Amino acid sequence: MDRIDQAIFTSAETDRGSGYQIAAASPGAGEADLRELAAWGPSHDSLIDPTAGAVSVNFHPLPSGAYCVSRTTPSGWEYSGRGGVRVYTQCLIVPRGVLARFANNPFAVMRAATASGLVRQYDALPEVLEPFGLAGRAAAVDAALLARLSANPGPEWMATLVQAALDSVSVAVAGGPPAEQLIAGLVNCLPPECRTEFSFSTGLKFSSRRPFRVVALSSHPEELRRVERLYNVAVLRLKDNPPAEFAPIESWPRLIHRVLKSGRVSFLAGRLSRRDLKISSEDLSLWGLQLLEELDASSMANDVYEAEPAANGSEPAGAEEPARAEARGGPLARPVERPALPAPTPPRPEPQSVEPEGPEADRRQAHAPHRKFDKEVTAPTVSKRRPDCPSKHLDPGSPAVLGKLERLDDLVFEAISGKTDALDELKTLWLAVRGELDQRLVAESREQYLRYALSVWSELQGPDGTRNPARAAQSLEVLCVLFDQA
Amino acid sequence: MTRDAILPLESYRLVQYAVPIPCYVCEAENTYDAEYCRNCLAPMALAHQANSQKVHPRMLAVIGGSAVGKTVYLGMLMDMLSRNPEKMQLLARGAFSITLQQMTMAALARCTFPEKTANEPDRWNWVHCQIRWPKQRIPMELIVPDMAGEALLEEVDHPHSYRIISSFLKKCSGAMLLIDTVKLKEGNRDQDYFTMKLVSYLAELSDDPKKSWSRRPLALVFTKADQCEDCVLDPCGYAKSHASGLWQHCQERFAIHQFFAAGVAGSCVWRESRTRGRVRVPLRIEPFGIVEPFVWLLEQIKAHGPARK
Repeated sequence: MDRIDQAIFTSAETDRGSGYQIAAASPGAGEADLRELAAWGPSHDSLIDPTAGAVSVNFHPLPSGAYCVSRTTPSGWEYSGRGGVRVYTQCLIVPRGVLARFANNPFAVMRAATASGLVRQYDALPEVLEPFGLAGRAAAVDAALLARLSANPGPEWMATLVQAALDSVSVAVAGGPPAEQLIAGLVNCLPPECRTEFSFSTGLKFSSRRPFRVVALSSHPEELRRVERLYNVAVLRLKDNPPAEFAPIESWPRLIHRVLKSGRVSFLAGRLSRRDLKISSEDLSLWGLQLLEELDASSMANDVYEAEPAANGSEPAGAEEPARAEARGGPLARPVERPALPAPTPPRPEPQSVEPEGPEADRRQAHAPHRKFDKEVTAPTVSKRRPDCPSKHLDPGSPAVLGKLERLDDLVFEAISGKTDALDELKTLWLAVRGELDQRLVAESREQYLRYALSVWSELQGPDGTRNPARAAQSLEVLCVLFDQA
Repeated sequence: MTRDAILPLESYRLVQYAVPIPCYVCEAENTYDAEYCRNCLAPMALAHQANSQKVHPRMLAVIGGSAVGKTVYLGMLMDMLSRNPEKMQLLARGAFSITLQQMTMAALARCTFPEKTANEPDRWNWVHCQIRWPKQRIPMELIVPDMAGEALLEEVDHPHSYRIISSFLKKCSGAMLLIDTVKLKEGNRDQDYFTMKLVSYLAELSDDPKKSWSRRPLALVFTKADQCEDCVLDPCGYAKSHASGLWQHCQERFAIHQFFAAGVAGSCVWRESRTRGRVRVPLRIEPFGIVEPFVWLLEQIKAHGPARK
């Protein structure tokens, strides 16, 4: 296992001198890397928030090819008697392979190291810091985080942030949700292969000597104006409307906007988890276009089943807006279908073949994929397994119960995707619906939802065979609601 | 009737970007509206002001270790010279030049010392001033930055890690090296070693014997000398006995140098503060020896220092 070296940059009196310096380091840390850490190291009054408990997570590359993931906190008082808090930075020199295991997400590395007790403040600085190994992995995308950011600041701002990050040398964000969440969300919106190109700091004051690509700004008006006067820095004030100059015009920001607005974060997660190509930021536009088409195709395929005409020509009861269908957040491009219910006639048997015919065939991709992504592209087809949704077995003369079951379907899908409010509503609705259904239909509903949960679990497998435990926990929680209340 | 007017095209504003403005310190090219030099992070206001004058400013360095008193010394010096026009008058050029004086005097008025100077060059305070003598017609323009001690240490240990320091020191007409008397008195040799490093660094900056630091004036000031009477009475002797390495280096490498003693606070105590921790508090302000090193340095610069072209 690759070892992670450490270094501490803070104000101390050492044999070398007094003041802010590399006060302690692992033996394996290279000289060039230590000098780089000293150059990037924050000194006096560098924290935006100097109060106790403030934390800044920072990330930047090092000359050796490794990366520095550091945490800056206030720690005691300045030793020289001039007042002010001492700024303490613990730097982890993370090899490329270790970072890749955590999907190139520095926040995941820092969480793992902190949870393991490896990141801490020393009252008495040791002479030598021991390197350590860090086990574990991380999913490519934190779906829960993106879901939160979809609510605040919203898909428009997230897409604007991605566009600005791609276009600008430096991006400074002010206002809105906590900077750590916002910047973590930005990282999650990028493919893992591109994340290492975006250095960031979540809580250090802007300085030209620390050329982070993404920084947070305090809300102090003078500081905002000062940074705005600097060139090559794009300042985004999240309390205002998204600026027109960073409107999401490129494909990747547009993809992020579509994904967040439609709630199909699982689509993004699946794509970012499965890819093993050498993607760089220059390839993002191409790949963004490709994924947009796949997203469109999967949405249209969902609409196809929604809009299947009934035998008697009546409007199918299951027809709904494409947005609602997309909002289910079903598995990767394979939404769970709910076939239309014919009004006066008994339910017709569902065909097992899934290839759309006739006009639906025209809705496939109009052109061949780019050769770079050719191997990864699969023709957008609907799921070969169509779970037998309970709603179709109901007496069509009870539209109220029909509506409740449809709502139940939506809530189960959304809850498994990670929406906590959907889970809360599901608990209430399940109690009400269960009382109105006979036992056979209850059992059948449970069976179909269980099948769906298992299908989501089996499809969200990373390239190395790992799965996101958070998604499993969500599915399990939903199943507990459906089964424990029997 | 519509009156004709000649207005420049909006696109003509971009023409200004075609003419680069060189930084006054490192001479790297920058855009006309840059606030800081993109190479060394020196304020571009210095270049704009220098370009508007016939007399080009000279640069003066005040260097020393961390917590030696550079900020307090410079702030007090600016304040004293600005209030004493009889012997020598100091006029600040640019609003930014008054920040250091204002910050220092405000802190001392609150019975505190100014906060530590940050390491980042874009957060340093710069002074661009004009020195006038009553009986002399031609004033002298000076640029003096308040640099962080840790940055100096880092540059000395790893040259070119702070480009602004190396560029600035190469072009300086003279320098003032501050030494902490209290630490020397306690037997702490770090001050001696650090100042030896600094003078060695200065001596090796330029290979050209005509432009080397051996021909530039160097004032060595023992700060906080109010706590050491021996130092006040005979600074050179004190250096010979307590900072022998530094004394020897200066004797051999710097033809124009002199030792001084200075102090600002008459007496200091420690105070525990809930919001600021353990801070050193000046009980009274009794400046002495502040102006003398500066006057000597200017006289040496006029007599021996290389003129900036």
